Order: sequence, then C-alpha cells, then structure tokens
Amino acid sequence: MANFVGGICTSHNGALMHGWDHQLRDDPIWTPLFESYDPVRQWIKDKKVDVLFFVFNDHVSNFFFDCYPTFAIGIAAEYEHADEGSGPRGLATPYGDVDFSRYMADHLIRDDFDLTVCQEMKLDHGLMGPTPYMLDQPWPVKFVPFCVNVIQHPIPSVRRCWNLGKSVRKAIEAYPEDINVAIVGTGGLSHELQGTDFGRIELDWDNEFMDKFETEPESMLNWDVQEFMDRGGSESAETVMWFTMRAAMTKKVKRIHRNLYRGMLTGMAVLVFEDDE
Amino acid sequence: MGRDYKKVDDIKTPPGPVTFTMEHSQNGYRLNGICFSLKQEKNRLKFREDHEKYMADFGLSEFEKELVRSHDWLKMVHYGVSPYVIGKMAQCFDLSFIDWGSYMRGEKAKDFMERNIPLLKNYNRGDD
Repeated sequence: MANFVGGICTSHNGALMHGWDHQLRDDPIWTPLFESYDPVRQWIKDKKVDVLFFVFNDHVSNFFFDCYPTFAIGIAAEYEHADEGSGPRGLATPYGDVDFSRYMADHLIRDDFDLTVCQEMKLDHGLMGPTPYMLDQPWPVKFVPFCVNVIQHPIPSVRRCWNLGKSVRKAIEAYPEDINVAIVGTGGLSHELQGTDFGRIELDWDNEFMDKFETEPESMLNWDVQEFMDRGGSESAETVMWFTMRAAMTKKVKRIHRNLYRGMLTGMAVLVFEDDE
Repeated sequence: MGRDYKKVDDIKTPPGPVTFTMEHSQNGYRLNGICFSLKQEKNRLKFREDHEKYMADFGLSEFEKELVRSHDWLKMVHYGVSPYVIGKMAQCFDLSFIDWGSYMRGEKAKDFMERNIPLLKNYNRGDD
C-alpha cells in the first residue's frame, strides 16, 4: 500500500525562478532563502519520497482564458517546461507516475471532484519555482501536477480545497502499490500584484496565518477568499491551495520545518509537516 | 466596467487592488491573447521588430491598440489584462516586472527597489 509521508507548503513566485536561474545562493540577500529549503530537501531524501502530489496554479502559461479549468490534473509520463517569457528553463525533465496519476484522477472524480484531465501540461513557476530548491536534479521523484484556478475569480473556496485534500489522502491510503507519497501545497503568502498597492506584503499576518494553519486550520474553513485577500493582498488568494495539503494531514501535526522570508514582492514561506496521531 | 469604452482615458483606476474576474477576463480577452502569444520566442521577436504591425495582424481594435501604446499598465489591469501575461508584453518593451509594477504605484522602479532591498531577509518569530 502507498505510504503517505507528509506534506510541504511553499510559496511559488518569479523570484524563486530568478534566484535559481542566476544561481544566487552566495548572494547574502538570497542565502537565507536558499537555506530555508535545505531542510526540505533533506526531509524528502530521508523519507525516500517517490511521488509528489503537487497542488499549484498555472499562471496563464499552459492554460489560456479560452478555457480555464478550475481543477486540472496531469496524467502524463513526462512534462515540458513552460516558456514564461525568456524561453523554457534548463531544468531536468519532470516525469509523471502514469499509473498513480490516473488512479488519483479516477478516485477524485468518483469522489465528486470534477477534474479536467490533461495528457499534456507545460509546468511553470507555480510548480517549478520552488522545486529546484527542494530537490536535486535529475529529479529523484515523479510528479502529479494538480492545477487549481486561483487567478480568474471566482476561485474554489477554502472548504472546497480542504475537502479535496481529504479525498487526496483517502486515495493515497488506498493505492495498492508500495510507494512513498508526499503532498505539496503552493502559493502565497502575502502579495499584491494588481493595482496601486503593487508590492504590498503583510509579514505579521503571514506569521499569524502559519500559526493558525498549523494548529487550528479549521477555524478558517468558512472564510471567504476575500478575507485572505484583505489580510494578505489580492494574490494571497492562492493560499487556498495550502488547505489541500493541510487537510491531507492529521488534525494534529508535527512541524518539521518552517520559515518566512520577505521577498521583493512576496512573503515567501516554506514549511514541512508530518502526521502526529 | 464594460466593453463599450471609447477611449483609454475612460478607464477608471481607483486606488487599491483589482480582482481579476470573468468580466475582466472577457474585456481583456484579445489583449490577454496577444500577451499570451508572446510566450513564444518567434512572436516576441516579431513584436519587438514592429509592434504596430503585430497588433494589426492580431486584429486588435483601435481602442486596444491605444491601450498598448499608452503603456499605462494600471489602466490595463483595471481593464482586464492579467498581471500574469502583462509581463510578457512589458518585457518586449524592455520593462521588468518591477518596472511595470512600480508604474502602477506611481513610483520609479529604482525607488521601489532601493526601498525594498534592505528589507529582504527572514521574518520568523524570534528573529532579530
């Protein structure tokens, strides 16, 4: 049976892409950000993770507004890197676990989640922003990319993303193969990119959010997405994706790692939890 | 908000955030489309070479062309151009994400950077 080993939440943004592509680890401004992912890389190694179920959003890199899916899952054997304006990035090829991906799509659809099933998906910084910080290349894991629309409102509610996480966990537990699976939730934390408050960051809220997220996530399940946008800026709507990770975990969790770094435009957070029950 | 803007000046830009809705997405559909097309290198080269021709070939309305020519990124966002595609066009005008973002603030990118760079560090409880 598949073994659920835990969960990671991380911001994803253009800065991560920039920092990696210019190899800025030794730049003192960037060093803490790079170092904040070292424990994550070690944890993934220690847990011998085979597959990452990766919840992220596309930034109009793969999907266009002609047809913008609310939930989309990749079931491919191999994925391409998106061209986000400077050509596809020179990162290792991401491979998928076809059997597991199809199984997950099957389970989630039978469990009432209406997914768009994708045989091709170009992965942008929503997934590939933090990934090189967390994993060596060639990637030692396979990916199940799971896209959530968080950019064209209305977007799925916190509770919807939470329920999705419950279903993801149930499916992983029932998968007959002996593989180690971790879930990744991405996005946020505070940032605002549209309008006169471009660059707004709310670090106190980011820390408060991470406290609540760890110990009392259910207190936020009835929050409207707007509540997150008011507290953390319009683009912190992405935070709904963290709840899919959190719902896949036990009520009480063991915190393995947590860090908040103030980027130029984003409160950039990373954390790792394991079940504690 | 509506599809019947006559001129760029008609687009209101109240302070505060913009939430990109289906209505924005429909208003900005062709502008988002032209920006989206610029994710391909060959199209970026064509746009850089002659963006007037590129816009005409893409079938933009005169209003939409005016909006591009204005380089008024704040108006574009209020009209319905997604921040995730604007960058692809701004880049073809040699403007960075911070360049067009700071423009929305009414601030020079240089000032925005100088103000923010000293703040880039960890902010965990117990730091400092």
